[in-house]
Amino acid sequence: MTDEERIERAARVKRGGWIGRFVRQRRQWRDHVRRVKALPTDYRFVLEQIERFMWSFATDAQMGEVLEDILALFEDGAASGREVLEVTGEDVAAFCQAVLSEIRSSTWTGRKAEDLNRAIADHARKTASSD
Amino acid sequence: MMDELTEMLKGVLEGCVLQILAHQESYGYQIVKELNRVGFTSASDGTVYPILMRLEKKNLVDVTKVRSELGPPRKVYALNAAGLRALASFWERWEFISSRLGMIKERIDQNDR
Repeated sequence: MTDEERIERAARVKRGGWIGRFVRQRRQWRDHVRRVKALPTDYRFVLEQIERFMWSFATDAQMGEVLEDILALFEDGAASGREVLEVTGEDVAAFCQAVLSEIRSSTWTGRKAEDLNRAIADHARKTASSD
Repeated sequence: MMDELTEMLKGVLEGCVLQILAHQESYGYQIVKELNRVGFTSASDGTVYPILMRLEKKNLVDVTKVRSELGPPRKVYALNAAGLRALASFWERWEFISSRLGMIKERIDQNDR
């Protein structure tokens, strides 16, 4: 890549657009991975388990923001010398479920629930208008 | 008893957190410690964080990132005007529930006699 191309690309990243977004996301992702690797082993294990679990329910990027917050929570816990299960509570799945229930519209289960209620509302409207 | 207490606490923990924040702006672990101090020993970041997510989503708190000596920047939560209204509403609901529970208990106790 020539210098001009590099400058041009940096400008595009700054301006936004899909390339900028992509480059920024990749940078954030690399930063995220680096921070996860820097965690104590127990913390890292639990976080990786949580991430795998949570991503399987995700429908959009909001999950990324939430996992970012949980990472910060873990870094704070590790820095203050607590055990990882003191931070999450013994029931890690319950913790994940509690978090997922706060971002229901970004999860498959939440979407499905919305679909269900929408289908019923549509049906009710149709039967009401045909009366 | 502790597990059953945790279950019962679920519905009112949001009110507890609102009350703590009404006293002073705070961050996750500080709120946890406060809850532990009053005897809710099962409270952890794991229970408090989802509540803070909810308060933020409902715009009941103002959030600022504050640098900490150890670890990453912390999210500090301060109750705003809407948060104060939510707190007042929480205590109203709490009064309602606790008075109705009292009524039920009294009525059934009387029937036993």
